[in-house]
Amino acid sequence: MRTWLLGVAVLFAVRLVGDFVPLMDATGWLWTTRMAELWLVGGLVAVAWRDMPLADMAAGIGRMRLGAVIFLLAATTAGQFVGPGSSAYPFVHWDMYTAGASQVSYGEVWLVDEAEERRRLLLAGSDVTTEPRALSGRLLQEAEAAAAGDDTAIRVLRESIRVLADGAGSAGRAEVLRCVVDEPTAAQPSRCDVVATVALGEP
Amino acid sequence: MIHRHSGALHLAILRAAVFGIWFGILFDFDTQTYSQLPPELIDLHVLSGVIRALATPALLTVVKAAALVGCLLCVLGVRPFPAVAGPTSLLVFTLDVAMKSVGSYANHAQTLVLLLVLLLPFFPAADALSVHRRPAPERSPWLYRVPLVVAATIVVASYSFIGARRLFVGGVSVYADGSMVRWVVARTLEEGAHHSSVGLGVLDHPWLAVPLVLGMLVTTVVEILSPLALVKPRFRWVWLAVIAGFHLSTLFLMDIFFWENLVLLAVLFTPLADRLPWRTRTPKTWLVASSP
Repeated sequence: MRTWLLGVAVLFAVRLVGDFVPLMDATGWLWTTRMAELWLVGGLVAVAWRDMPLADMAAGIGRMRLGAVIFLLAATTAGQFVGPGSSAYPFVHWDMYTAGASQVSYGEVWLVDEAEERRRLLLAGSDVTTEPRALSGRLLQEAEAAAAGDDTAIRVLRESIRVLADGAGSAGRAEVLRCVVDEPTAAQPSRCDVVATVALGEP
Repeated sequence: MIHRHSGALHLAILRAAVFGIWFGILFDFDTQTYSQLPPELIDLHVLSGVIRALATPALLTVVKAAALVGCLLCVLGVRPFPAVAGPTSLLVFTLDVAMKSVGSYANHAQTLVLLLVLLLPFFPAADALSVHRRPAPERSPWLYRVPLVVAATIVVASYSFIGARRLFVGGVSVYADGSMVRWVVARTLEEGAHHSSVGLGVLDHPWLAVPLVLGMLVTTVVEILSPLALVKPRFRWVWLAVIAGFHLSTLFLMDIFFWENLVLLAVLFTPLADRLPWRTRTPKTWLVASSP
C-alpha cells in the first residue's frame, strides 16, 4: 500500500513539474501518463478486490466463463491503455474532457433554398446514431476534405445531407459551417465560417 | 465487497435492465435512413465491411427486428438463456457499431451497457424473474455473484480511468484555463440529443464558472476513487450522489446525458432489489448496505 501511494505521489509530482520544466518529449509524456493512469486505477481496483476469494470464484464459474471474464476485463483495460481509437469500440480509451482546450470547434449544416431562406439541418431527428454531434462532426470532416478538393468527399457530403434532410425539400444547396468557441461572450458565444457548400440538386 | 451475497434475483434485474435499455435504443434506430447513406460514410470501425454489407434496407430491418425480439425475450428471461442472449448480444453489438460507424467518434454513452450485454450471455441470468414457472437448477452462487462483481468493476473502472487521465493529462491547468466554460458553451450550441440551452447561462453570469470548475474538480476526485465504491458502503452513497449529480448536470449544462449509466448505477450500486414488489417472494440476498 505504501509503495503504491508513493508511486502515485511521485507520478503526480512528475506531472506537475512537467507543466513548468520540459522533462521529456511528447512520446515520453504519453507513456508516462498512461503508466501513471494504470498504476493509479490498477492499484485502486486491486485494493477493492483484495479480499475476494478468487480461487473460489474461478472454480465456481468454470474455465469458459472465466476466460470470457478475463478477456472482457483485459480488453477493456487494454483499450484504455493502448488507446486504439474508435475502430476498436467498445474497447476504446475514455478521455472525454481530460485535456485543456484553448478552443472547441463543432460543425453545423444549413440548408439554403432559392429565396436564400436558411434553416439548420437538425440531425437528432434522423435517428441513425445515438449522438448527433458525432454525425455533425463527421459531416464537418467530409466538408473539410471537400474544401481541399476531394471529389469523393463532395459526393459523400451531398448524398449524406440529401438523405439526412429527407430529400432536402426546397433546399438548393447546403452549407457546412465550422464553429469555434474560444473566447465566448453572451453577444458572440461562437464564430462560424462556411467550410464547404454543396449543391443538393446535382447528380 | 459489493454483491458478496447477491443471487439470481440481482443478476436477473441486471439482465432485464441491460436488455431493456438496448430494446429502447434499437427501437429508435432508423434503419431505412441509415441504409440510404453513402457506404463511404461507414468506416469508423474494424467491422465496417460487415456493416456495409448489412446496410441494405431489407437486411438491416431484419437484423433490427431480430435484435428487438431477442432483447424482449431476454428481458422476459426466456431459457435457455445463453441460446437466446448469445445471438442477441451479437446483433446488438453489430447494430451499435453500425450507429457508431457514421460518426466522427464513438459515443461512450452506450459503451458500458454494450460491455455488459456481451458479458451476460455467459451466465445464468434468467434463473429469476423469468416467464418460465419451473425453478432453475441448483448452481454455484458464484455464477450469479461473479458477473455482478465484474459488471460493477467495469463500471467503476471506466469512471476511474477518466478521472485518472484528466489528472495526469490535464493536470492543474485544465481547471484554470477556461476550458470548462468553452466545453459548456460549445456543447450547448452544438446540436445534441436533448435540446438543453441552460449552459449558455454561464455567459450571462460569469461567476458561475467558479462552481462549474469546483464541481469538475470534485467530480474528478470522486471518479478516480470510484473502485472504493465496491468495498466502502458509506463512500458508495457519496460516490452515487456525485456521479448521478454529474450526469444530471451534464444533461442541463452540456446537453449530454448518459441515462444508461444512471440505470446501471441504480441496479448495481443501490439496494433496488429490496424495494421491488417481488422482493417478498424471493430470499433476501442483497446485503450491500451491510457488506464491509
